[in-house]
Amino acid sequence: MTRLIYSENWPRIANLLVVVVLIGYILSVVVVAQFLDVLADPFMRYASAFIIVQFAVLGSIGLLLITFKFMRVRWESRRASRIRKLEELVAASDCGDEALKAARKWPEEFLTVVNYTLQSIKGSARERVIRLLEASALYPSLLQQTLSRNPDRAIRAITLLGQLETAQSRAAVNRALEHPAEAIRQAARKVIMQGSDPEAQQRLFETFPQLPAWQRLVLYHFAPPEAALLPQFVTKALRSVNEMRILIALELVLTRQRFLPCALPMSLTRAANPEIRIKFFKALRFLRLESDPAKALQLGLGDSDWRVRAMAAQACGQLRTANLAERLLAMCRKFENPAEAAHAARALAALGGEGWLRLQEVANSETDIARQIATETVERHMLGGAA
Amino acid sequence: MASDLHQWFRGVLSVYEYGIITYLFVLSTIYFVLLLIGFFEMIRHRFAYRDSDENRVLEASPLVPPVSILAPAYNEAASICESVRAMLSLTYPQFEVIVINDGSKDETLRLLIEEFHLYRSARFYENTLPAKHVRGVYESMDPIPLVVIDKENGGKADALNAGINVARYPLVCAADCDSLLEADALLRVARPFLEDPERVLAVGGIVRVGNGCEISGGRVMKVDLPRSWMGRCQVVEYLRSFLGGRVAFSAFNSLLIISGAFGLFSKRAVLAVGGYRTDTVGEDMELIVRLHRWARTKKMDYRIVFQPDPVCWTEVPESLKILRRQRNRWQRGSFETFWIHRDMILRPKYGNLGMFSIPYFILFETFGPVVELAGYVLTLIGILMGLFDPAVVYLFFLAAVLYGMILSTASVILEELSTRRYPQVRNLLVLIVTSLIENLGFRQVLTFWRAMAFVDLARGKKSWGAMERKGLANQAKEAQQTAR
Repeated sequence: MTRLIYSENWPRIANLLVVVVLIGYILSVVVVAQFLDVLADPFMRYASAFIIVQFAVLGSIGLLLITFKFMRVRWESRRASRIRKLEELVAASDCGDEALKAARKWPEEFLTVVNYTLQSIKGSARERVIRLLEASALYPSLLQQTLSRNPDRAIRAITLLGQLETAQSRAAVNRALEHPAEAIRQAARKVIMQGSDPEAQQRLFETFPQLPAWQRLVLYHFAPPEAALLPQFVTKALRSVNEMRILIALELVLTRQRFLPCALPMSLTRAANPEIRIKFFKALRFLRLESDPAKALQLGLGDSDWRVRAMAAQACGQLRTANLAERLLAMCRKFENPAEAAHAARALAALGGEGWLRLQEVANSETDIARQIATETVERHMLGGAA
Repeated sequence: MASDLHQWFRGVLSVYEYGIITYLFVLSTIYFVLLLIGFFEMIRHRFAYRDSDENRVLEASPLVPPVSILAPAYNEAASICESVRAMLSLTYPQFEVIVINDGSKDETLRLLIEEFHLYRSARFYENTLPAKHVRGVYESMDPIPLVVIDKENGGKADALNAGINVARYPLVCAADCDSLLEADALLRVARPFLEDPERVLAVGGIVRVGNGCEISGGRVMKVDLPRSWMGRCQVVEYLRSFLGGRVAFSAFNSLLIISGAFGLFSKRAVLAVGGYRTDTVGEDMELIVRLHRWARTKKMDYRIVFQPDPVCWTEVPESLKILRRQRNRWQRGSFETFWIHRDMILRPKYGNLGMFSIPYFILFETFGPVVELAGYVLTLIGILMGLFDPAVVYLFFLAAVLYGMILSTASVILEELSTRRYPQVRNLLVLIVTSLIENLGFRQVLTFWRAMAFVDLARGKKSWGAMERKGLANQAKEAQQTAR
């Protein structure tokens, strides 16, 4: 069933299932109608059969549901008490054997406890719990479970094994990258990203262009901050001709919001894709530009796309390029696009000195829209907000 | 002659009665299919989205598109501060809350100014969409992303247009001031925009009944059912509407409504269609139909999506008078929308929307109450005049009452099989009992009110009618005090 749900054909399968259920439903009505031959009028016969079938189906599902809910609530309460007991055993340093015995008795609960524990503690206590897990009889089955069809089980196995960092566990996690379920593959990617296997991480970086945006954005956050792999990947990607790779590198830099010692090629200011040019100026303060940033900013302020010009103006303020103040002032006055003019005004405020004084002049003397934009920026700056 | 007339009348009544019974069975079957589709969609959703971890990391992502939350407020002094605090505490990387004081006659604005240290700001905005005169824009001296627009009264649609004019971000979220969004609701509802930024135009979340829940600090701490049967009946109604209908229509990109209480829109798309219309009381539905129309006319590859997991808790009326006004308005809004867009009906150019979605809504949702009410009236006439075979009468009542019971029960079952937000066995039992008794009076009263909306429409009524609400937090406090 899991394979079906995760398959690309699931929408078609679901529609087919709807048709199958509907046919079953109609057949049931026809069959029930055969037993209602006391009703001479066919309309009445089939209508009554329709009602009886609907009632029977929903009544039985309802009853089953209430029974299962009742059983589940009781089962969960018993499970919670077992988990509490196991937590006590795992927390006590001298109860290793007892914990292993309990693990054999309640394997699911034991893995749940270990999972929570490993996520919340560090140091020697964590090491002890890892040893406990490795010593338990559950460890070999965990290695198999990364390919389990039950998504909860597979994700838990991946998360647990990801914390062990043994060759076996790494291999098991890598195998999960081939799982038919996307959620499980993504869990494996996250674990690999957080781990310390540079080869697997390198391979994963190479697959980023094929991943949907949401998954990429999540994985960026799991990228190890200290790994040497990241600058290598970013440098290489920024120099490639593949637009997607360039965008991914810039997104990675923007997600980190910290300086990365990578060279940013000037050629990106002329990239055909405006998204690259926008992200280039957004990421400018986090990278080392190959040539004079003022030149790149000048190009950006003259870009044909207002969004690029706005981001270049923002970068002027961030990098304090005072020699572009006149250009920013012209942008603020011209207000081709209010957002662009507002970015220019904010950059002038951030520059301080001459830029700040000139902005105040605009606020006092210009035509309506430029004055309003400048006044807002001056007011915000004076109140200590993000100008 | 009299005997012929009697025979003729009897024949007409019988045909009508059989027609109504068939109508109810067809409606019942369509609902059944929608619920089935909804069920399979929910299974897919549940398996595909395992995102608690992902939501946590994305809360800090600078790549998630920022959102402007628009909250129109009219005479909301009782709960405005608490509602704004709840909105400001949402977990989302970058957002601004824009409260639009739509000419309130009470203390709404003063309370906001005092509570959030507002000053009259020089914030620049353009009147891109038509809206009533803005008297002032206020921002907070504190480092909180709050903007308050004070404008002349012009109704909810007008207030939302004013909010869109002031909004700075590419996504705008329309929310009710008296509703509570779950902490991660914004992140969940924005997910389709991240997954498919080029195609998604609007996303709706699920609106659930918050009456009876335990609320603290603007958050729902414990989910429970309302104490009144009227509230409980509405829980079942909301489940039926959201989990059954909307999930299924969304699967075919034919969603016709995103609740005004919680929806996220691409600002670019909303501006392109001219914002909210102010001459209808169903502005939320009308906007969605207009977005569909615009995108299909331009032959765009687009999506309007319903997401079943971002939750907005709303307060439903627990007084007959207010409930009548609300249902009357909804009914008029839906009729007005289809009247405005009547040329889309059965036009292949509009795909599923024109060929199925809109005809279905008109036939079964908009005119359903009139057909059903006519059925009750004619059956009574038939019984009094002795024109009917008793079996036909029984069958009509069985069909009318049972179809409702069956659909309500099915939606409760769907809730239990999919989202399971009601934790206790008692909740499930109460919901099942409610879905049975809802059809023994409550639904018929609603049918009557909805049918009467056509009378108001004929009279040209355009007003919303006052919606007095206690506020979810105040309700919860009252309940706690009563318990003590």
